[in-house]
Amino acid sequence: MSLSRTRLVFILFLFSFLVIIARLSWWQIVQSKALLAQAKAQRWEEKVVPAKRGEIFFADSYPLASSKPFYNLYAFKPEIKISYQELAEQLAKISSLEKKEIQEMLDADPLWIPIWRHLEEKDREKILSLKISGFQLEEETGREYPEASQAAHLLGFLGKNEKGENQGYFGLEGYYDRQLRGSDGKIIQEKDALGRPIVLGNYRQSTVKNGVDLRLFLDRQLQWIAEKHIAEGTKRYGAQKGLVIISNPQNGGILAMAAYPDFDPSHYSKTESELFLNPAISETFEPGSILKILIMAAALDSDTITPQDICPDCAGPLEIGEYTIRTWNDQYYPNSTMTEIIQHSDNVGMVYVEKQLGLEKTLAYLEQFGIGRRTGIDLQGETTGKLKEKEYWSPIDLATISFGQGIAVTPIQIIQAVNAIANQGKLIQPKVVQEINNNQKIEKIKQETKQIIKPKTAKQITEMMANAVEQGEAKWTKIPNASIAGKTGTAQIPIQGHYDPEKTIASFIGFAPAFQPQLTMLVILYEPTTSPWAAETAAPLWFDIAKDIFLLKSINPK
Amino acid sequence: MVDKKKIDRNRQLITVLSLIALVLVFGQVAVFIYFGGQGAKAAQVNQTKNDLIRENKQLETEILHQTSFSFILERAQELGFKQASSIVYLEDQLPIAFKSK
Repeated sequence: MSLSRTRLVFILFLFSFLVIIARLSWWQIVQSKALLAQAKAQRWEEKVVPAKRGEIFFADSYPLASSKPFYNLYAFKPEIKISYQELAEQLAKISSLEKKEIQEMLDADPLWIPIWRHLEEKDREKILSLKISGFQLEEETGREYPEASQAAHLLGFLGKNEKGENQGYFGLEGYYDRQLRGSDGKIIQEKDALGRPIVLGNYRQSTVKNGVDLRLFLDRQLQWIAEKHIAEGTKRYGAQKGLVIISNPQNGGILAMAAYPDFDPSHYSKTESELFLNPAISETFEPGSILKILIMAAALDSDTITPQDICPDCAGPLEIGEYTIRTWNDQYYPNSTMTEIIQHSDNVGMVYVEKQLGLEKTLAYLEQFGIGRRTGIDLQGETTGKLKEKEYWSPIDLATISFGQGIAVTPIQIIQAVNAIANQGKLIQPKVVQEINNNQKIEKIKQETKQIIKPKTAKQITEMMANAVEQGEAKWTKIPNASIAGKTGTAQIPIQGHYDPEKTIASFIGFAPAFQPQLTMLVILYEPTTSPWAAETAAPLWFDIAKDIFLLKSINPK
Repeated sequence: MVDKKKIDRNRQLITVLSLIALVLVFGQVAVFIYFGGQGAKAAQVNQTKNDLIRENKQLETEILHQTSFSFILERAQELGFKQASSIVYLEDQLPIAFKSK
């Protein structure tokens, strides 16, 4: 009897041990990986230290785009202690959300519900003051634009990529995205049962690398003036859209770049995507008469003509094969000098110049001026028109290119080319960023320069342009006693193999003061309806902007 | 007799060692409690740092807003500033004062 009791006890103990061993084996062998991970998660805290996206500053160091934390509000339903109705009521009082809307969100199936996105700091404080359990705030970095939508086309915007991460699109945000983004850091440290760090515990850290800051050539005041005028001008002249680019001819720096209509980069999702394209770099157009100054510069520089040469073909329309070349107003000036050809914007005279210059020199000089290839400006989305190969040029092509038809250029290419004239014949690459601040290490942007025409030629063409402002068709709108070199351009719009009989692109390019230029400015109005002519639309707008700039920057244009 | 003395010495030694062990154990507990408290303090310092960074950013944003062109323009209009309707560039410098003979 006593032996069987002992055995029973032994068997019970043995069974208990077996159960314990089995359970321990289950935990330590079968479940070991999962439990290890669980233990790690309880003991170790892994925090990502997000890199701060670099900021973008105007030339005066005022931020054009700065980084700012935003918050997303989530509700974790199991932890909500009050009724959904009460919660919705409280939240509706402090937010722009409707009570019904909040309640509908809370009634949905998921346990985690995103309630309110892109909250600002003041909203976060209001949420915290409610002291509602079950609310979670997730921080994310976004962009703050102190000057609202200023320079939107140049700036681009910060959006999300397919992984939900911040990514820059278009303009500077797109071009410098990798450098602006930086790289995130990580902190791994032991924590106690209450989630607090253990001071003597293990600690590992990978350093965060913040994004670089960019300081631009962009002048805040000039940008403001340009945006104000282009918006007013586009409306005043009934144009589809308008564009202004202002550049410093000495260093190629972009001082202002404004297009209208524009968009608000902080609400880019509400904008039609075609508006994101910057017409200054992403759209080509036929330049019309503003190209005459490049062709004339080429002819002068190659010693094909002199400013005093007489045009023997300028007495009337010119026949080329089945085509007739006329002047813009059908008025003809026999025996015009080259200076007068530019003054009258004479198409027939330009065909004469082109004939003297020839195809090879024309193409060579246009290439030198940067036509047909990207300028390399530091903005995402630059495009270019191509110059046709030599063998594809017909006599009529050669004739029409002399007055800017049959060739596609971008506005930035025109600015670059005219900057070269203003800069004594030196071509300089246009740039938006003047320096990059990489964690207090300042890197100045280098610009390539190349002498493409002789300084003497640059001076001659400047004199012709100054004369065109004084005596040309836009003289009614000029600034009295101001020394400005400029040229109007009225280009027809090609559609399906012919030109639209009514629509034009009106432009004016010029620099001032003519012989000591401090700025080059291009104004383009697309399809103005009050008048098709640049002299009556783009030119007065150019002078309006110039007046404000001269006053503000104390430039004496004489 | 000898053995009794030896036993007494051993007892004393054990007592001292026990006391030392006790002090060490309590010491260790005290040190851990202290550093445990420091962990909480470190978490609090971190929290304060983050709050100050956030507050600083908010102040920066406010300053930027107050110095933005849109704000300045609004204030200028409120204060009665107007843009000049025309600009005249002087041909020659005008004599402001004449030297008396």
